[in-house]
Amino acid sequence: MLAEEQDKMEIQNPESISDQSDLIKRARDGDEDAFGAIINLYRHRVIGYCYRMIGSDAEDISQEIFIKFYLALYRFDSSKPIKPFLFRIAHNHCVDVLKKKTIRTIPFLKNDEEKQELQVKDERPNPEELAQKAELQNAVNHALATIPVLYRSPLIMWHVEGIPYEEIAKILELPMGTVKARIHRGRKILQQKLMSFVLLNGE
Amino acid sequence: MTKCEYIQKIMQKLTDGTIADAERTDLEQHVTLCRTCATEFKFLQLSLDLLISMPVPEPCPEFTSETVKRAFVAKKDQVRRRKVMSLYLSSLTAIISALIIASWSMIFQPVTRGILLSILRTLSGWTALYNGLNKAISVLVSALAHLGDTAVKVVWEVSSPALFGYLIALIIMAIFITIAGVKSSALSLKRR
Repeated sequence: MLAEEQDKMEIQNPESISDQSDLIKRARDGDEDAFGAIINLYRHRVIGYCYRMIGSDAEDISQEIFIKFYLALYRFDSSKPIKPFLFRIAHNHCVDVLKKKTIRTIPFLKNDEEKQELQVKDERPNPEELAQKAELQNAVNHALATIPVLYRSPLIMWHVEGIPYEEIAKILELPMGTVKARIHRGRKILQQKLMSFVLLNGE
Repeated sequence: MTKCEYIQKIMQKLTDGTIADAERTDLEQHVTLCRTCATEFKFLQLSLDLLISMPVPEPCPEFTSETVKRAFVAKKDQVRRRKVMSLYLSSLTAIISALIIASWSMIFQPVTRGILLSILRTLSGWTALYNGLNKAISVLVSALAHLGDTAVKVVWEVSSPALFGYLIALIIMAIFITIAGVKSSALSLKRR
């Protein structure tokens, strides 16, 4: 919470393009605070995207993405929003990481500690329901890891990040129809995997 | 299209956010009657809810400061590598240009040939190199002369503007490289 409050103090309106443009210009000129403010604005989203895409080492991978982003800033048009540019780098980097990985890591909740964390976050008090939710969450995490990357990435961008179709099409350099079809396909796979998990394990 | 197929399409429209009010009513009514579609709908919503609410690890408190530090080091490294690369390319271009100009003037200008070869001999102190080059150029010049005056004239007429164009291109390129170098240096040095 403290970090978020600091973020809010640093810039008036984080979503405003003119504020972002100012941050970009300052970061490009070597202003560490400005670049720090950009990272604070997007770190949760980027880490969330990497975690859903890859599962493990999300923090390290996100750090590499921000470094790549900074190195590419000189060719970024500061009058445009940061998010599509940043997510293009994030997508390409995650795809590279997945190509290098021989074994795909599944973002399972690894131990009781993490399960506990999930339970704390959940507002419902019923422990049975919570345990069931944790199991379902595991099933979705597992299902997500088995969805091919070409469906997984646009699915996360659309449903989690709320990036519009036009922007996803630009990020992935694909026609909008293909993006829609891929999101649809990814959603279908996710739904079917969850259904088969529940049916196999008994509802 | 069966009713269930129609409802399937509507479900996708709902998740796309493009559903019309009438379609929403159709969907709501249908899922109360059809168990298969109700299950499908339930799992579609559940899977997306779980995807969105997936617990994501919190970044460590030093995440931002550490990333900024690493990014600035990487930037310095990038600028340094670019400088080395531009220096390497400039040197290579200068050497190639010098070789082209020297060869050209050695072939067509006997006076320049004499001067350049003498400089080479003085600098290297290697008479064998001087003799070898002198002989090779003489053979080349006599071969050209053998082809007749017209051939020499044609080679001269073609090579002179080509060399002139090359020199102009080289000067323009040098100006661009200098501007780019100055800009990137200013970028890396401009710190608060």
